[in-house]
Amino acid sequence: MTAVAETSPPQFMRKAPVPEIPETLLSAFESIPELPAASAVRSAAWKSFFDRGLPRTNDEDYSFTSISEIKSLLSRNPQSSDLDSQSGFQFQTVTGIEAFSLNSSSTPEALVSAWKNAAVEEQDVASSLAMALSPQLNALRLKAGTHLEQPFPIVCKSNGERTDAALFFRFEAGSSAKVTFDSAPLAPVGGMGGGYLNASAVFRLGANAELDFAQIDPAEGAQTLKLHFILEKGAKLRFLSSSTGSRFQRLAVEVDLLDPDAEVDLRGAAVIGGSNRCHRHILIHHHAPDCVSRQLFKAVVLGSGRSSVDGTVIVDRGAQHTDAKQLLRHLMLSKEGRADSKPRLFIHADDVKCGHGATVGKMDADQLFYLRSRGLDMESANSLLTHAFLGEALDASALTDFREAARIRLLTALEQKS
Amino acid sequence: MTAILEIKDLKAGHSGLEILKGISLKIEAGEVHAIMGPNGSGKSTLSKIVAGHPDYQVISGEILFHGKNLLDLPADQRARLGIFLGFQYPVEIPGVNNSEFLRMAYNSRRKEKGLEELDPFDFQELLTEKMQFLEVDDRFRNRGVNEGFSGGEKKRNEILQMAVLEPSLAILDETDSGLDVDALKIVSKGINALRKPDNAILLITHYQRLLDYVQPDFVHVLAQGRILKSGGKDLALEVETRGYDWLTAVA
Ligand SMILES: Nc1ncnc2c1ncn2[C@@H]1O[C@H](COP(=O)(O)OP(=O)(O)O)[C@@H](O)[C@H]1O
Ligand SMILES: [Mg+2]
Repeated sequence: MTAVAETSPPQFMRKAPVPEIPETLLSAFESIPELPAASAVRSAAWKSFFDRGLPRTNDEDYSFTSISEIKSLLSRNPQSSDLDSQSGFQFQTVTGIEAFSLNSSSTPEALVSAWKNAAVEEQDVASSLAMALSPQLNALRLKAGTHLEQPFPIVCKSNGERTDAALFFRFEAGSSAKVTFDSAPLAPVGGMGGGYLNASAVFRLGANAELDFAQIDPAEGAQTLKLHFILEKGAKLRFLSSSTGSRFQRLAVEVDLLDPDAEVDLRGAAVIGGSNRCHRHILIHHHAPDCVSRQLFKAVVLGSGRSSVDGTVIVDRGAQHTDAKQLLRHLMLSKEGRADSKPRLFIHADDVKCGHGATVGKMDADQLFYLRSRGLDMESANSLLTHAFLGEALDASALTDFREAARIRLLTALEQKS
Repeated sequence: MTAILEIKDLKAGHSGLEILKGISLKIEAGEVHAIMGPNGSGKSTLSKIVAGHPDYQVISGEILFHGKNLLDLPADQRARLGIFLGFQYPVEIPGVNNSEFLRMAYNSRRKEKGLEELDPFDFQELLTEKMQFLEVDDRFRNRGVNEGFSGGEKKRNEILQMAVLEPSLAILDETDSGLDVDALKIVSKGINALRKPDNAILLITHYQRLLDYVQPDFVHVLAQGRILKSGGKDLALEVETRGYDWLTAVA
């Protein structure tokens, strides 16, 4: 590896219009070596962050989450840019997939600029920081027309107090793939804090590309994860997120339907018990006409668990014939638990089909009585209904092995935390 | 011999409202009873109270099943002892597999009797036999319980469950409503098959039509929470032609 000179960052980065940026972050960013491809993304991401600063009280994007907690996590000292670190994104490339590191010079310009554009547009400050501070910037590309039969596993490992990680994945026109995404704490840090993973991944699907994606949150530590999907003409995304929560967890999913005929189906299944928390922040943006979006998020809350889902759909003026449906459902199995949902629709086109609903409910008494009247005891009846509730979100995923592993984790959490 | 079901001066209701105002009814083994009565008279309430619905409260009186006090037992325990309620409005339970659920129900009853559970293969065989007997389409096997079923299909599914569970007391709450003649014949075939010397059946119905296919031993008219008149099958015919007014006027 060639030695690189440290250069000072461009002027705007220090002229602090936002007083609240912690010194830890400023100096961490400044200490990252300046490498051409990487710097294009990093600087754009840093500027996005710098223009916004850390989340402030009453920030709409952080309803239901503790601002002080997310601020304290994001202010933690970032890991030094140790390029050999085992933390961050881990994957094994397979035939059809090319992997690049933006720290070396071989990354195709098209990938760098696509990632840079995403960084410029990024509104989520945690994600901006992940891109700005991640020691590695990995870019992956699935070649046009390639069909990956086997699921492609991506693991994101955290190490120590804080890990920032960023990834960009380009699926070229007509390709198809299944991707699983697992966040694994490498070395959980004990004590009050625990490890913290701040990760950002951008997936750009070319024309008619198809992606089956499934993700599971880590069972421990704190995490802020941003998954950003950009769909070009006719691209299709099927997405499953599963979670049992942890002391702090925030998943942000953003989907941009850029061109006509793109389709997205997002599903989430969660069991949040004990004192765990799980927050989901979903943003679907219909930029173009004739796109379809579906959201079905289901969470079971028990113990003193807290779950919240903040789901927004934006339909641009030109996005006629949009078909967007959103359903956020919570099943409350305890009095101490808490669930919040905030479905929001911003529709600027007139010829669209949009529907949304949010429910927070207890077990259905009629269904329960029906099962019991056939001989099932209270426990079996409850568990059958809870499984059925989650099943609606889980069953659709084509990533069968991953889905079943996720189901087991959710059901185990149900048994333990009730 | 002890009766299968004996209800003694039962007063019961829902959230402070007294719906049943003193019901007494005795059903012996081998008998089929029919309860008729105008809407809102308390027929479904009676059936749910016998089945053990937790939302209804018994104010006074007794319910004995094979001589045993039922009132302290939860609904699932009553079912395992052999009480079956065919619902007037069977609920849909998406995501709970029809045959899986029925196997659990079947095995819960077997366990209660001290028998070994039936494995999935043997159970599927048993289910197939019952489905064929009741002419139930095979596609219902692996659907969600009652999910997307038409009204008639739901009723037929109730009878299928009854046929599998072989209860000693079946209470069928307006299972005949909304059925066409062909479906009514099949449902009746299912009910008649359960008619055995050691079982009992309580039919709740609006129409004498069902009673043409399932001959009752006794008919009771329930109105405003009371049994106004009991008799044989002729009473059903009389109600059919004269309505209920002549009975309520007397009361
Ligand atoms: N769950 C309930 N909550 C309040 N009132 C009820 C409830 N169930 C029944 N009732 C009342 O009790 C009366 C009898 O109802 P029901 O037993 O359903 O009559 P039927 O089956 O004979 O038509 C009606 O006035 C009805 O409104
Ligand atoms: Mg009724």
